Amino acid sequence: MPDGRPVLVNRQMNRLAVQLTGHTVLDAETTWNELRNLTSFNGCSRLEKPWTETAEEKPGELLGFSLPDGTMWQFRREMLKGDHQTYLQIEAADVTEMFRLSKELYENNRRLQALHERQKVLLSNIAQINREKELLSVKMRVHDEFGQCLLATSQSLRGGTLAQDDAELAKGWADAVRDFTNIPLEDSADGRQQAELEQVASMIGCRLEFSGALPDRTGTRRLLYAAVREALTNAVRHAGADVLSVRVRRSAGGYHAEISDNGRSDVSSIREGDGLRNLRSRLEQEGATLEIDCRQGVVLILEFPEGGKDEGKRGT
Amino acid sequence: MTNILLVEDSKISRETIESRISRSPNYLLLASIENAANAEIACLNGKVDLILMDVCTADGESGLKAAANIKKRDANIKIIIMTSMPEHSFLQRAKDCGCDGFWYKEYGDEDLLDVCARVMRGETVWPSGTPPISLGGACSLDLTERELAVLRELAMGKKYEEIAETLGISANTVKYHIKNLLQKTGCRSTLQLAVEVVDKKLILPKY
Repeated sequence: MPDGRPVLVNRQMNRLAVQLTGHTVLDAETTWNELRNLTSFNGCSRLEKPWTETAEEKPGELLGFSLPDGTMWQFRREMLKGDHQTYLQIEAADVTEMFRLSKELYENNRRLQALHERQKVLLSNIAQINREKELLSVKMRVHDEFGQCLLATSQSLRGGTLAQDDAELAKGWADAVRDFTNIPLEDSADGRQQAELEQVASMIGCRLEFSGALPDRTGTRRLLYAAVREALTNAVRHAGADVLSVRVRRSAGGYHAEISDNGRSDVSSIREGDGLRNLRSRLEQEGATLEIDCRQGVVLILEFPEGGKDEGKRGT
Repeated sequence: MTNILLVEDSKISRETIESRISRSPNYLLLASIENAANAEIACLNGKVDLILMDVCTADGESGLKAAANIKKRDANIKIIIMTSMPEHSFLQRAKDCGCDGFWYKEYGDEDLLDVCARVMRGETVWPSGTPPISLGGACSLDLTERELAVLRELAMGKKYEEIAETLGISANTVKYHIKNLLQKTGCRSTLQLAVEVVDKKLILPKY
């Protein structure tokens, strides 16, 4: 009724109201306000989301509570329009099973999402993992070869047959040493990358000058090299530069790099073509930033975050 | 005399090709590098006539992407794509970006220097197709173009809804193709299927 007196309350609703508020439903609006402000009472407690996602489809305000007997109840407050007046309706539904399933679904979705992320990482690294696996098996084979050579040589020495076995032993040692020297030295790959950049720069008549400590992380160094390539291309093509300077230093958030050249350039701004646009988007994907300063020639200013963008995701 | 730029990050392949080039009186090796992105710079000197370009190069740089950029800037430079990967899209993408030839390092019996000679005479040289790869119980040649397209997206770790959006088809159609793929290959899950295609190098999404 307009004064709040209930027209109809069933026994179940009264039972729930007593458990949750300490008294029966005397005034619907007051009862709803009490429920709305209730966080815990008499062993009953308020349910936080997610609880019943499908319930959102129906109109009205929703509240959820768990009772001491382990059941979960969903309360809905809704205005019903009659012929001459509007009624406030509060309905309660036992959602114990729905809550359990909804929670299970939520947990499963979270697990699925985590698995999906792991799958992405695995697939993007699989080529690298394979390479490392192959390299490891080569190293193990070479290790075994040396072991066999040592064993055979020591047996020949002990048995006094060194003179007869020397040709075979020498061949074994030569093979082992050759295989050993053919193992790719993965650690020097970055050194080669810088040397190769210098090589191609010199092919187009430009000298690269690196100064400062290069970033520790391979991914960050790759980004830096990508920026150097773009700057080098533009400096030689558009400004006739023959020296490109790359200065790197540690900054509070990671690494700061500046790439400048000695070319003739007196522009106040530059139009970003495909190359710079692609570079900028590649950098931003990795959490790095690019600024272009045209006050004195064209200087690319780069900020790389410490550890790269994905550092925090490792090991998950 | 043809000036060659060699882009190859495998030491063994690089040394073999360098040695073949050095023994031929028709070719001069201008430079031998490992990273395809550096090839774009090397070409700016205007001396490169022919590039022998690997696809999967150092630092994860794609030879196909570099080839497309180089061709855009200077269509006169001849490019032969070389690969040991049976990746099914490489051949078509090489054609699409205007390359002049394609050479499988480990399949077929074409000689690289013959391919170079034909390309320098103005021909385009393409192998008849991608090498067949066994994929569980199926052969890669038995897969339809659409199935391969779905597989490519799957290998990038995309969800069904994302694959559907990228390919402009419904999520149910994606499920239908994946069900067929699982049936054909005998894989038990999409993860196993995705790992299988990447591991066999039928699809290398990064390049």
